[in-house]
Amino acid sequence: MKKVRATGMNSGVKALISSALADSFLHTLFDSNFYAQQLPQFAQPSERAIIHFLNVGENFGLSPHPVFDRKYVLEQAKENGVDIKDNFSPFAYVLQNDLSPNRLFSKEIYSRHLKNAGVEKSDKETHIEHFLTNWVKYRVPFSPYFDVQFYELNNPHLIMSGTNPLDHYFRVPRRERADANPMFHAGYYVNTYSSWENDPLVDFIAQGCGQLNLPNPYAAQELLSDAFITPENLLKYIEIRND
Amino acid sequence: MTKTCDFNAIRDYQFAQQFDGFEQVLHIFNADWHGVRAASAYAPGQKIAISERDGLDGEAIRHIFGIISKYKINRIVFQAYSHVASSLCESIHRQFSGDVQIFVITHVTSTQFENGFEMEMQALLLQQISKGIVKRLGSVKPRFNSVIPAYWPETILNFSPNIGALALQMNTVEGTAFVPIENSWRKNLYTNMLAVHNCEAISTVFSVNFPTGLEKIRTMDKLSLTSFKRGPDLLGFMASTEVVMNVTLAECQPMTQLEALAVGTPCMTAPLRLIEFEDDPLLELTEVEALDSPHFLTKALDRVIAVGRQEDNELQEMIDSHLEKRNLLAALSYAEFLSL
Amino acid sequence: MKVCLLSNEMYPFLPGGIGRLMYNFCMQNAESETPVDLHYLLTAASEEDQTKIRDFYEGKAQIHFCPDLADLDDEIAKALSNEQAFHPEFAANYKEPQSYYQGLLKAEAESHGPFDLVEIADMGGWGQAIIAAKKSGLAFQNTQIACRLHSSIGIITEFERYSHHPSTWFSAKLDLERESILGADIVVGHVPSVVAENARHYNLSKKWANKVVVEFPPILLDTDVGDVSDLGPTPDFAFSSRLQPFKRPDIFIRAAVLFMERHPDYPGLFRVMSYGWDENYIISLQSLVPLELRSKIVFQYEYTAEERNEVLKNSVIVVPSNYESLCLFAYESSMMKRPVILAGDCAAFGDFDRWKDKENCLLFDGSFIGLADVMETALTWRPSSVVSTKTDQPYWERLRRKNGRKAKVVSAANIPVVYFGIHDRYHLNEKLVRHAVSPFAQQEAHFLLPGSILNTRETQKLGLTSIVPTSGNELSCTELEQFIIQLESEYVFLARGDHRPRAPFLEAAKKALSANPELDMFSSHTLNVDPFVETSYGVTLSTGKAPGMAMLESTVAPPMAMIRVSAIEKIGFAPQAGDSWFAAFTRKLALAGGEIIISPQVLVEAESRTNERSNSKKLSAGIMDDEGIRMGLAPRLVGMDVRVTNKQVQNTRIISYTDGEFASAECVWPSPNPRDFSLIVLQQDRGGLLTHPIRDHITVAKLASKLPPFIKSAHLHLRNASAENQGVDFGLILSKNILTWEDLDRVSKGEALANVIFTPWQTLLSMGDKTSAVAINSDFEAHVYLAARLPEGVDDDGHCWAIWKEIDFFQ
Repeated sequence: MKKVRATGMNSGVKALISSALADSFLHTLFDSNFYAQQLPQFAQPSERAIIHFLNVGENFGLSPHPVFDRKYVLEQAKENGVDIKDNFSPFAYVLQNDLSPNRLFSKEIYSRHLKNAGVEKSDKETHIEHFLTNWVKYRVPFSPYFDVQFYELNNPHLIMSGTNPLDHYFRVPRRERADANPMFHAGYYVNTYSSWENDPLVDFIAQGCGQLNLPNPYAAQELLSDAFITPENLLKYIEIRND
Repeated sequence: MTKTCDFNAIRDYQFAQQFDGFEQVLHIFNADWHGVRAASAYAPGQKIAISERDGLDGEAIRHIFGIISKYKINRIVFQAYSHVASSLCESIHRQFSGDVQIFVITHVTSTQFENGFEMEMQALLLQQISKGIVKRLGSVKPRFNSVIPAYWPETILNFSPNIGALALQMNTVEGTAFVPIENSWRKNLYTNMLAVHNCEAISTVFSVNFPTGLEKIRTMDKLSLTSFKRGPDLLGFMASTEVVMNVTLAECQPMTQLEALAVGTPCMTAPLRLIEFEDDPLLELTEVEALDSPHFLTKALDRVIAVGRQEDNELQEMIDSHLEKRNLLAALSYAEFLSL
Repeated sequence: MKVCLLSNEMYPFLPGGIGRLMYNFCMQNAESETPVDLHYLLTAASEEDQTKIRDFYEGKAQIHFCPDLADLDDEIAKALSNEQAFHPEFAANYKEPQSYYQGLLKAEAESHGPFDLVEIADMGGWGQAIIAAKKSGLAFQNTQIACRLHSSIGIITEFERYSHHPSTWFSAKLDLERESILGADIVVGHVPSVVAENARHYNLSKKWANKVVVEFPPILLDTDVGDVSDLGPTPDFAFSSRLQPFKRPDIFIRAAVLFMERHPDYPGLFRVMSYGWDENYIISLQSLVPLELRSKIVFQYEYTAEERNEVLKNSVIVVPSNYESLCLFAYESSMMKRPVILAGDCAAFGDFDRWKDKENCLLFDGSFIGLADVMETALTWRPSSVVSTKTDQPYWERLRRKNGRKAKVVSAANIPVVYFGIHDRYHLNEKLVRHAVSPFAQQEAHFLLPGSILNTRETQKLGLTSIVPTSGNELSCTELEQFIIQLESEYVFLARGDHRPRAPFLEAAKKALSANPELDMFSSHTLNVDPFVETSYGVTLSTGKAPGMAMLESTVAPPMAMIRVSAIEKIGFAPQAGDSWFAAFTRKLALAGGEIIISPQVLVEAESRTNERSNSKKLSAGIMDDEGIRMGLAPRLVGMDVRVTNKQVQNTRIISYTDGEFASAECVWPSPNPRDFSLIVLQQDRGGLLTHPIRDHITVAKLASKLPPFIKSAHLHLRNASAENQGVDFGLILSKNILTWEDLDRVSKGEALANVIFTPWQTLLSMGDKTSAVAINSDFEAHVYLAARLPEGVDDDGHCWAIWKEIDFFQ
């Protein structure tokens, strides 16, 4: 078992907490109830949950929020040449660099559509935080792969409830999640290639398309009529038109 | 094993006419009903072929829902109907309710009602209209609202295949006729066969089906059986012959005629009673009233061949003019039917 | 740096020297200060074996496995695994290259991205499809492909002269090896003199030599040598290489015999401790040992590794091979401080300065007499040093990551398409329509066919499409060649009427051209399609620039290819080759060293005729003779008698006729029916179609279905459904045209008619089933008739119920 220092905060996190950011901004990407559910009963934190997470939980790979994909954040850090040592905080890294913490959220697409809609966003706020807080108000596209209209078809109550669909998606147990992409059949994918260990759509985007796994039983015949099956073509095939 | 659900298969779009405004129209049809499939293939819009024989399962229906969502389909046209189509129709209605309007176009005449299935489907359609599942019923048979009043009063016109200017380069083999009809009572194979055999201008008759027994009473020395053809092979073959015979006893808008015309070959038919083409010179030339008499068919054939062999290209101009009008009116009829 | 080594051996699980080397590389990398991200791609293995191997190499290397071709949803993989790929002898060798190609794609995906370097072996040519994929621009654009010289079968064959049967299979294998060695970006050798041997053997240029890297690989001894005592004055001698001619066990045995003749009381043994695959060869080795010396010169085929090591520890080790690329065994023996005798005429020993005669080894002159002399020396000589195993830094650690060459954007817009092989106007029209919906629809297109068919001598031009009348009643390849040249285009797409491109063909051709500006010809493998029923069966493999295959077979490329016009100008289409002019052109292009790229996938479909021959003796003899004259050979190769292979897929297609087809049967003879009962009736309760012969007439039923051509044979399954008759004769009639009454009358009287196949009458005994195989060999689309008659001498036609249950036609 990894030894954990009493205070596990790295300098980046310290800077965050001591910065002019209001608590509410920090808390948007941190869901205390969600975090607490990951801890055993006897280990429930006595201090504020976020402090516990920063000191302890993050080092154990716990997640601050359902949309936070630690693996994806670490991948991005590696790609950006960050030296990932023991005290590296993915959470801080996302907030400091305004990154997307989830493969199904594209900062670029969200930003572009916010601009087109004439919505101003504060520089102090990261895109993911803005998205989680405000999306319901603006309902702009945010992903090349998550189709809100399709998802809401299968979850009609979402529209009235004012719930962020991506947040909703990752809160639902994987086996019960409705499909969020018209061309991706999660049930077929799991039965054919993988298990429910990871979200099937995320799994397909992260590595499944690279292994030429098919997103539905008709993809091969539809793709092969005029192209080859390549990882790029597979991603293009499930891409949503956001214009 | 996956159920048939062919989305935009090559054969369903390679000869489709192009008209703006149909990008969010989806045609759904039976993969094995060749005539209906051809009619759907030549129409603009997206296409899905399903199978009445195999049916659909959850994955196929899920895939169809995905296509509707991804392509933002707002109009679905079921071309001809079946039990499988009906179940699918209801599923789509439940899933998409008012966001997607469902229409049905039938390709049947009342003469086919001897087949109980056809009436069963009409009854089913009427139920679905009354429940608001299907928005509108249309027919390719002129004045079908006289059979079932609930039908849209105008005729849905079929599109011809989009061959483009290529048709002008096709080579015709003089003295050849093509009889691509099956040997059933409605299709009138024997009369067509006798008519071409009696036509002196024709030296070779290609047929897909043999007129069994006819050899007992007539020498079928002009007859050459050819294999069943489809797609480019069919179009190429039609282009090669001087005339195509399709004078049947009961018909809506035969795809055989449209395919032949698209490659510049005239096609003999029974009167189709298309109001829009009442004075059309081509149809005046190629429609034959007396369907059960080879004599009159032969006379009509003689006339058509004579015009076709004229130096002035008159027949080709008639065909071009007819097709241009046909496709334009077809697009307008669809646009109006679908309230585009 | 991400590196993947391909191997079919992996120590300690899959035996062999290459497997040891792979292990050694892994250990070396683990200790290196600049290790690479090391991967291995191994041949398909069971789940259990995969786990074992992965666990063993956990933390040191990532292990990937090739998929089983049968499990892949790929047309070529399926055709190869179902034995439905032609040419069968090329296909047998092509399975491994395809398997490794698919495996590398899978390994890339599993490791989340391309490799910087992939290393293939020379032997077997496994890397050929990977190289072809890279050259086609299909895959591996940012990957450097290295080929390590282990020992190709090609070079071994030279050193095992007179030991190999000739065959197309063998030629194909040698071709694939050659392509791997020549086509790789980097070639790796262990010993300079061995690299020189390969250059000499393959007649390789200076340009090839520029891509060679020579480095000494790691040699690790994991055997616990223990205390190696002095052997004493009468040691044993051991031969422990594989029993194969180039390892020269015969020299060891002969030398042993000579030694014993000189020293009859010598107490030591001469041990042959090895294995081999050729029983006849092993027996011939055993027969070299005189009876009286059988206890002195001993053979041992089964032993454990410990037993072997124990023997080797107490022996002088002899390696008499006339060729080795390295020979780990010799180094390991020296490291074990054993006296080692090596063949001085082997480039890996005699010409390599690490081996020092009388210092760390003894060299003999390559003869058994010389070996016997050196064996005598070995009695008292002991090595004063161990051979140097100083390892060079692996080349991949020095390699710079190379981005794929920035491909120039090639416009295919100005590459014209020329269609030929159009046999009539019906076919022309069909081709015109197909062209309009093909990937070539936007290209300038020319359809060539005789003016006599078109009834005009004028070219018809419309937009980008021209219909060009040619002379005579058959298109001459000379006219085609001249037409192509006058187009003044650098490249042309040439398409025969019975071949058609798949949708991605144009893009693939563009990619290949971008990746290879020196390209002379591009095409792919071909799917065979039955034009009558539009079903596909089997794949015809294209062998591309493989020179052996080009010499023997017409499988270079399908007549649907992109060709450089200057190659056509240089080689020309030979009218003397008749219908085979295209095959002759492609074969000569391959033999002239043309840059031919065959994409390792299916981009072409062919309306295939299963009896099409892939080759002819005259064609091959002519091509070989041309090649021999060009090379200045004294013997004329036109005298070489070569085999011809029929292009028939191994698995025949079966067309079954049952009730569905029998339902349409109608009686066509006798006409009119003289009886008051039906002579032809479908009786499902009796199992099929009843044909009832009657006195004085044969009964003939006609089926509505038409049978496609090229039916080889049929199985007729019948039943005589009554015990109350004296037998029924039956036969099958296939006719090109519908049989008239006159025809039927003549047939019933036993007359033979043109274009009518009538199988010999056979008898069904009463109350019995019979399955009868009949030869057919039809070359036309046929109307099918079922005939029945009373046997000769039988008058009573009561209860003559011949039931046709099923007919299986084999195509």
